[in-house]
Amino acid sequence: MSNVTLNHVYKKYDQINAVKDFHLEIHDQEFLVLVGPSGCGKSTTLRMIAGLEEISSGDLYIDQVRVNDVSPKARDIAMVFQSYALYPHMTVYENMSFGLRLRKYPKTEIDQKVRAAASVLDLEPFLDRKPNALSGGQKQRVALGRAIVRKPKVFLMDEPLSNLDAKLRVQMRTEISRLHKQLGATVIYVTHDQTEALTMGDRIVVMKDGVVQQVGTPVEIYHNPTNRFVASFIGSPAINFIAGQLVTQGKQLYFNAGYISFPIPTGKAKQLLEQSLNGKEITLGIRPEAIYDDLAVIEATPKQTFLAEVEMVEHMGAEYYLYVRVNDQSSLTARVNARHHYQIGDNVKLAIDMNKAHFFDRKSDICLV
Amino acid sequence: MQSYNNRWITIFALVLGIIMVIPIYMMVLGSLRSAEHVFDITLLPTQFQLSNYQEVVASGFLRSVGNSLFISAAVTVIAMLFHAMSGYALARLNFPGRKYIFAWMLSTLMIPLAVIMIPLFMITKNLGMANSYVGLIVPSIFNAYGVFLFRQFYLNFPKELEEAAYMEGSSIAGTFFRIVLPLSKSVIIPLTVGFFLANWNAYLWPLIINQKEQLWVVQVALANAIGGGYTIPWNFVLAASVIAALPTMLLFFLLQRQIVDGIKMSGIK
Repeated sequence: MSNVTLNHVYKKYDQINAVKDFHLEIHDQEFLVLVGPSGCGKSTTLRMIAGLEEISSGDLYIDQVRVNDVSPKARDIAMVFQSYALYPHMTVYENMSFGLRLRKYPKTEIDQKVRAAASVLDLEPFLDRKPNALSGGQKQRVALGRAIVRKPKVFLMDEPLSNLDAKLRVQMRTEISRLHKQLGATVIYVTHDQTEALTMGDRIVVMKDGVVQQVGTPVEIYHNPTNRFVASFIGSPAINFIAGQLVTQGKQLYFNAGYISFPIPTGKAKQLLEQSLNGKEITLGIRPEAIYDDLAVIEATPKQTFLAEVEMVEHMGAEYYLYVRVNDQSSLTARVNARHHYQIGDNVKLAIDMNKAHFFDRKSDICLV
Repeated sequence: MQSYNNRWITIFALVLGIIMVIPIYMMVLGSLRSAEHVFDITLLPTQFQLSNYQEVVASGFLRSVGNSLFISAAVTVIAMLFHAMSGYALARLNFPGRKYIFAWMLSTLMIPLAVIMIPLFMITKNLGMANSYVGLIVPSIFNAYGVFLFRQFYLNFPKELEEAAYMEGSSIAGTFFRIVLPLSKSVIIPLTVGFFLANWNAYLWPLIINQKEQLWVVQVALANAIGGGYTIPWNFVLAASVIAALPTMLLFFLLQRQIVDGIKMSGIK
């Protein structure tokens, strides 16, 4: 069992709160991802768990033992750093065995453990090399190897893939996920890359300005963001926002931005009306994949269509990202199948799936429905 | 234009190099001549007699070379260790008054040795260190220059390497000796050369703290050779000077690349 509990944890630097009221239980064998923009406090939180930063207030428990005042080495935690932090004067073998040698393991046991970890990570041919003679991906694997070799209670990873090229990053993502399952370890992973968060995490913690915005599974975070920040930070291309008003015409509730007006599906309308939001100014959030150029969809939902002018087209292979301007009022992004050929300046008819729309309070940015 | 500039730079460097080498060359020529021909101005050797060197060896000069080697090496090794530790503590450890201690250490750089010579002599003598290797070694270890350079180096040292070691179970001292010190070569090598040369060339302090002939260092022995009588045996002095210069020249040739790299790095960073 290796669970980590943060009980109302704060980190203050002079008068600045880097982390505010972080309260979470990380379960045994869970892969938890802390995600957020630079300066949101995710790395500080990780460093507090590691023992590299003092906790200003609150409690940190590892396996129900309070470890606020326990030194990093006594917490039985391993950490993988963004820069890998491999010791350049030691070989791969020496790097991986460093922690075991410090803990005075017998030589034969050290050798056995290092070679086992090297075998898992395909590092056997490189054991006698120094880090300078390794590629970025190999260095990354050595850093992972150094962490797994002593089987710690918890693995901490601070943006471990950010120095790799795009292809290698995808490969290492899979490798780390595989390793997590193979070792059955508790992993706390920090990243600013929402793709890493969505693809790797059992649960995601989205942070901003030192405050946890939302905790949930990737599906929950993507489909049910609690506020505008989470909706905009998670998802690529980013979600579209349109400012408008809720208005009732007859028995139907509409989202009206002046230049466009869409009927709100019954279920969502009911929830909005229950909150007495009729007439309220709100922001509509719609993900790019919920905007269609498919003729069948356009004909089936004529009231949810609008005309737009193509500003830019990004060819992504099987699909296009269409950047369109609606009535010179707002810019939207649509993610459509690469069936039609679009050119800048084309006028297109698009349809919005209002069942997938989110509604945010204009002042608090909280997701209403 | 580029190659034109490079050519002039090369010529300028060559001229400077020749100016630097001529005195050494003249010293070697003089050391191979008899007393009456020692100051002959010739470019090529006119005499090749090794008797001057035999005389220097017979006079016991090599003992002072040995003394200088031992003292310079001891001061350098001990100073490197303590200066590195002090620099690391001042750069990395949080303790009250850290800034003031550093400023105070740095201020000692502004005071020339001549100013503190008498009190330093009195303290060393009262501690019973006069006329001993300890008296020649210990006071030379204290030098803020090394501490300053090490501190500046450690301020830029990648902190993640130390943090990784802490996470692996290393203590502060363990991290310093296992990780930080082995990765400090780029500052240790130029400082080692600088310290060794400074102590090899030291004259004033070894002169006043020691009265025993068997503890003479090279520079004191050379000065005694010059100042011993009415006439100065220049051929003997030049042969002794060649011997005195050999270890430092050897040090330079062996570590030339590292010294230049170290100077370049400390200049750029």
